[in-house]
Amino acid sequence: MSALNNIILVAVGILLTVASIWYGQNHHLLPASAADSAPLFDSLFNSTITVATGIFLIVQGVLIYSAIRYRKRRGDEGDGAPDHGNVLLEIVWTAVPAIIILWLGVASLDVYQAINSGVDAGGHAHSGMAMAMEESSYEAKDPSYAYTPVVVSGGEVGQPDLVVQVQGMQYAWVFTYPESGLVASELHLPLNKRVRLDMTALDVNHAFWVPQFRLKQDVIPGRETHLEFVPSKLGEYPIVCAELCGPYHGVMGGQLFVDTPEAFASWQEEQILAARSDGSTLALAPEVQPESAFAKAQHHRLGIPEDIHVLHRQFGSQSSG
Amino acid sequence: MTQLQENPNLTSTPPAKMELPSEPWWRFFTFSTDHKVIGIQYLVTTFFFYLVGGALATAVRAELATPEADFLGFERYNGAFTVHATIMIFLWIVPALVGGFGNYLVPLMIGARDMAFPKLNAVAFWMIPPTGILLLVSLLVEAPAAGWTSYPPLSLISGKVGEELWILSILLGGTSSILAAVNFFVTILKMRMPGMKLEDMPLFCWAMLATSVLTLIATPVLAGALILLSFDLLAGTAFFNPSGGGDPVVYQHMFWFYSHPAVYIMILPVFGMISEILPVHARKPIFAYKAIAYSSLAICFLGLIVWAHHMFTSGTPDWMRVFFMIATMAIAVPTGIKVFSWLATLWGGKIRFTSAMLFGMGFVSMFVIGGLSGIILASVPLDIHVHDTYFVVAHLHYVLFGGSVFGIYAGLYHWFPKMTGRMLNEFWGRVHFLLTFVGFNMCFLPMHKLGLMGMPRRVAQYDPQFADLNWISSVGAFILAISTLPFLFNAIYSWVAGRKAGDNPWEALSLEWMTTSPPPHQNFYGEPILLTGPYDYGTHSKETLDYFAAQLQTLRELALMETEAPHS
Ligand code: HEM
Ligand SMILES: [Cu+2]
Ligand SMILES: [Cu+2]
Repeated sequence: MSALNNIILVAVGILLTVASIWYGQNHHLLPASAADSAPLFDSLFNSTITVATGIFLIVQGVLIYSAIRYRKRRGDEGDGAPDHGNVLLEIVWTAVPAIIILWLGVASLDVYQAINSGVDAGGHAHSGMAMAMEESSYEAKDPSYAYTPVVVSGGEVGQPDLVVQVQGMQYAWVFTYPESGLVASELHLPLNKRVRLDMTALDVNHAFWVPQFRLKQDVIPGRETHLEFVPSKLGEYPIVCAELCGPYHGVMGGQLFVDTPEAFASWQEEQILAARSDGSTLALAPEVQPESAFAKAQHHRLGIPEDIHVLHRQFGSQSSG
Repeated sequence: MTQLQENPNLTSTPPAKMELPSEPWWRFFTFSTDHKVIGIQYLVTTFFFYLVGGALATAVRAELATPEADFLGFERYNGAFTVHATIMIFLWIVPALVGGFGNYLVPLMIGARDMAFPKLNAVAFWMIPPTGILLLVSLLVEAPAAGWTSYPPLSLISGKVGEELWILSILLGGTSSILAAVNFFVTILKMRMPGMKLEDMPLFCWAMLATSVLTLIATPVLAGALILLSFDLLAGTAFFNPSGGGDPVVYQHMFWFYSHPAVYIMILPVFGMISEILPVHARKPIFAYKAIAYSSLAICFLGLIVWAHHMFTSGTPDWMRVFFMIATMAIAVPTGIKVFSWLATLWGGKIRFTSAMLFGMGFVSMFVIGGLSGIILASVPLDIHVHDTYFVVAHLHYVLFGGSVFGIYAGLYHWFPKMTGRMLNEFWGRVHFLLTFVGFNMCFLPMHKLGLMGMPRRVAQYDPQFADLNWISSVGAFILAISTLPFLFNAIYSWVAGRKAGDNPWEALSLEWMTTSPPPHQNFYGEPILLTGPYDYGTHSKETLDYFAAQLQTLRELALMETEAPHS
């Protein structure tokens, strides 16, 4: 190989590296981040995009180069070189991807553990099992769907500052604050406090997803699943149902508000007052409309108040005006 | 090449014009046990379903062109994407690859007269039309609407009739594919011509071997899951129904125990076809034959132990998430080996840009994108964000469309002359490629960003902030819909009146080209001979080809004399 070739090769290599690193930082593919663990996700995602861009450029580059350089010329009916393989080359392109995925595997494991446990929230100890789940209190007779502490083998339960019970149903989310007994259709959370969601579904599978938190967890009937995080930025974020749950799956959304601790406290008080004057404990979104007989039976079994259907219909007609 | 010198007269026979009596056209409408007829039956039937599935996809994209659910409406939308996906997987990709190309090519490539169990083969094919009819009937009666994954409890409450029709349809299709797999497994191991070792086989046969093993191990589990789901649906049992104490997540495990391997059932045969097509049109031996062959087996094995990567957010325990993440990432290694070997095959070749080659190179280019997004999906923390979003829809289409469908098109352009004896028109082939390539990327590239930004999949209505990218995507889908037209007309016209192909228009070296186009009922005149490896381009390939052409000519004359003898 001539010196010129070497120079070209090195130059291409540098260009490729620069382009990959640049794109890894400037892809604009993610929404703003608003949870403590989201930056961990973002940096892993950016590194992965960097590596992926490099591989993408190499493969497409070789493909295009070959297409141009090794195209059949007019009148040439011959064959290419009878080249059956090259052991060294084969070892390289087995080993390099192996190393890359080893790196990605280890990095992913790191980030996964950190997302689950490493968040510092006022000096509490947290186990690595924040998302573990077990049989829920589903079978319990208690109609209020009481919170049962999760006991997970291999680590003690985390100590969140706030626990919220989340119920998914066709096509709405219901949030219960066990401490105050408040039931709401919006999720309000205090800034920089560690929150655990204890989630279950009343009818079919749903999934609780907040894109700005980079967190998602299926919400499954007959089970309790968990999500634990620390909201780190004030604002309003969408809660998206990410698991197909029926025809209106696409409109099953919710609102998540990250408030200052003061605003959070006053919101809670307001809601409780409002609910009392209303004579109900429920503040449900207008679109709650359990459709199926199955869902109704489920709601009944789970002790959702009989008047829920009436209630949110009233609520719906009020708020739609 | 010693035989060559011993038979100088063979090389110098001038090509005489003569037509052997062709078999009747209506054999394609019979219970034929000829693997070539069955292969074509599969290909034509499944292409019809592809058009139906494509029409549904176009309807889905029409709905998504604007944020409101104003075209199909909520209920019909779910039915449309459910049937779209079911058709594409179970009535197009799987049967077209395994039943279509597998059937047509495997016996020819290994020098066999037919498959090991010809009747069983025909039975397997004739289960496909009822599979499709059941599904299409469901569209008219009550479309299944729980997605092609059909997770309970939703699948238990979204319409009994449609769901049961869907289950019966898949059970029938699954049975068909198990029967086909048994046949391939035995055929490849037992029916190879004398002297052909496993390592003399074309790589497509290796891929089919791995595919058959996957089908045999995985499909019965799907059948089990669907039968249990049926009981829940019709008999009120509670295997998966939480209101009776059942566990919906168990269904997910059973479903993906099949359906992850199924994605390899849908891509391994394509890997095989690409490994045939690239060397022929690049005029070079396949690079690293053994690595490609054994990486198919590695993928087959690893493919069986990664299913829970579809369930990272299903509340699976931590150890499971970690195990399945590592296993999934490991698949990147054998897959990478294949991609790099294909690139090395092109490097230094004399590439002929036939339509087959364009789709073949298009496959490599598009499949890599699907592979890279696949690595992101394999990483647990990354997948938690993108699972069940449009990112997944983008990924799966880069693999299934950019991968499997591009590969099928490459295969159709490459083997059409063998199957029909006529060439496809190259100009319209290029138009077809260009439209497909542009439409495909326009349709599916923006979906990556949509998913990452927050758009979930399987929704008829979405946040207006996603309107622009969805609009681009829908325009791409319409281009894709149009792109099938040049192919369709090209195929129909060329089959009837295309240019005669001759026996070996691509000057290929594998055995299927060492017989006439289309091959006779018994596949070969006389005993097939293995003079050359399937990829020995560059070493005497010209002499070998001349020798074979001459030999075939002689054999054909003999055959002609035989058929004419009784009449004269
Ligand atoms: C003709 C071009 C195609 C277009 C425009 C198209 C479009 C779409 C769209 C928009 C979705 C998402 C539906 C949703 O989540 O709401 C989808 C889903 C899907 N498509 Fe396609 N598609 C095409 C071809 C294919 C092909 C060739 C396959 C091959 C097997 C395929 C397999 C699937 C699968 C498995 C799903 C998942 C459905 C589900 O979520 O249950 N598609 N398609
Ligand atoms: Cu939902
Ligand atoms: Cu998978």
